[in-house]
Amino acid sequence: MIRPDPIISIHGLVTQFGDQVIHDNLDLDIFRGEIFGIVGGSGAGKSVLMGAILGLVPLKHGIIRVLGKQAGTLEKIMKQHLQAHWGVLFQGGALFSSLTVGENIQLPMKDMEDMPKDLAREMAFIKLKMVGLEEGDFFKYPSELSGGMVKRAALARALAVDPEILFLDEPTAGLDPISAAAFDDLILTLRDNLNLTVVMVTHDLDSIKRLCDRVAVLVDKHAVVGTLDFLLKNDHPWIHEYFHGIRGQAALAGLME
Amino acid sequence: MPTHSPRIEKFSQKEMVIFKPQGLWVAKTAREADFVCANFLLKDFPNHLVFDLADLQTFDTTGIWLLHRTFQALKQKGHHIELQNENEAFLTLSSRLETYQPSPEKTYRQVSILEEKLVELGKASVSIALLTRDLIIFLGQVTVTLFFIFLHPKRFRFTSIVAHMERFGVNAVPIIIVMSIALGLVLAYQGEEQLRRFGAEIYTINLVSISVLREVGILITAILIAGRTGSSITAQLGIMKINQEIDALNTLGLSPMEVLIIPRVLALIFIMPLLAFVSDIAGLIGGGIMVIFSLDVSPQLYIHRVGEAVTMGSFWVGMLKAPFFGAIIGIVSCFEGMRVEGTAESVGIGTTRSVVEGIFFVTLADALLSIFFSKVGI
Repeated sequence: MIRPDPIISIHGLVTQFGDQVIHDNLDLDIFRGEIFGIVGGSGAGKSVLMGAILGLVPLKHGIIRVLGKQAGTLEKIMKQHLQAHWGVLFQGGALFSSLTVGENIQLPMKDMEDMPKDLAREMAFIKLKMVGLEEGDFFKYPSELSGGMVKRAALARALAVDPEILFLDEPTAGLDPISAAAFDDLILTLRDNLNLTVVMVTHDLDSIKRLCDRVAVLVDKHAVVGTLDFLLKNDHPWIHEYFHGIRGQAALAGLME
Repeated sequence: MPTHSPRIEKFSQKEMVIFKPQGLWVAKTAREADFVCANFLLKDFPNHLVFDLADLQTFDTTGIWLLHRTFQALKQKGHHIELQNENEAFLTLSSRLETYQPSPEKTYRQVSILEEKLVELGKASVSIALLTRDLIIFLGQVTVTLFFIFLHPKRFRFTSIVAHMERFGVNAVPIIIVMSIALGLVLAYQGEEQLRRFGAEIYTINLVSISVLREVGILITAILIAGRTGSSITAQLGIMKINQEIDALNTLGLSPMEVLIIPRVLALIFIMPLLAFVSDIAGLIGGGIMVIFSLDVSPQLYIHRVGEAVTMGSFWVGMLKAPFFGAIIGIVSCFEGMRVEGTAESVGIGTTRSVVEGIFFVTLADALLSIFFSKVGI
């Protein structure tokens, strides 16, 4: 299937820390409206890839275009413009510890989009409930929340201004299975109705199976990209082990035949 | 009007009036949209209202919420709302939003200013009392652990202590020398100005040497170390606490008290007298420079006069205070570091308190020790 206009396109990406090459000549295209999974072994550079797309990690070589613009080379104004189009859920949540949960969610609404104060408050409440937190959590500080709650509050902040692209770093890690399923539901609803593009780093095979339209597996400093069916047939040893190992078999049982 | 600003257009169709929301209904245009909706609600309408959502193409949860809220408000006023051409996405999202309704605002009880201030005073008093209690408990723990380590010398972390001594002490030598020379110069200059009126300017040397050795040298060292090392200890322990590194130590069966706190406190106790000595010498040199140039005294004579002016007692008074001050700074900064809870802000608060309390207790101890030494007669 040929789809024009990738929303994120990565071409010839090389990233390096000291002598250690993380990605070597990596190519990747992500299209509007798809849920794109990134998997890979520990240290394969999943989070680094996400950081590179977000402009947080310096590139050695290569071009990354997000919404047609090169994030790493943008002027400040243009960068801010681009940042209004994406929401990021960091692995550890990265909530601002000196603000309450409610203030955390309202921050992008007030500072980036100039929303009226009362509306921002209302929307923050709505987003809070959307991600499955309680009203009382609105006034709590991040240090008073459990790990799973921090994750959900961070997701509410990432969704605060309804971004076009949502970056999720291990979103379901640390959630109980029921919350994780509810989380998958929420992502699907948002994608289907708001044409959201989701890029998620994950190890949760259930999430991959339910959500992801395509998956990139990071192996040998490159990305092997395809639908789940395509990857199941791939015979690279790591990919095979990943999808056909004990856990993979259990999660993907229905797809194996 | 630009085509993308949100608006609700009115169309008349036979007898019916149809309202069409148009433009962008997204977070970016929320301020305008909010205004449009508020204005819309102010107008008078027939009982039966028709909204045609065919033109509503670009929207997000914020826009939908605004429309949803407007419809809700109209319904409450007794209007009947009919929606036309609403698309799938709008329906799904607004039915989801229905369940997420924000609850009515919590109302707060009004309290009088007097009551508020009394509550504040009470809270502040209790927190000071608790702080004092905790500090005394902490001091007790440090003491007990110290005794334990003296009974079990194997637990003595020599390498760690030496490393801390280098970081806290050796690296602070340049700044201490510069500050002490400057203070010596200032003391000599001011003293000479005043003593010249009595023709006793030669006693500047006594003034400088005694005050530097007894008070100034050790105090400036303690203040510098409280600012430089105390703050860094608090910040480091605070971040370790937030990172759960302290918890990790505990679960490994290592006591943070033994591994982190005692080495730091001991390093400060050992290094303070050495730094105070450096400061004394630098202060005397600073005073000397001033005296030699303005009083026309030869360096040999200056050294000779200093030797006559000070007794070993003056020197030891300064030196004896040093380990106490080191212990105070170490214990206060470790205590504040271990009290950090969760937030980045509390690291900042802890660091500030560590420096302020460190300098406060050092000054207090200096006053008490001065009284003690004068009673003893040194």
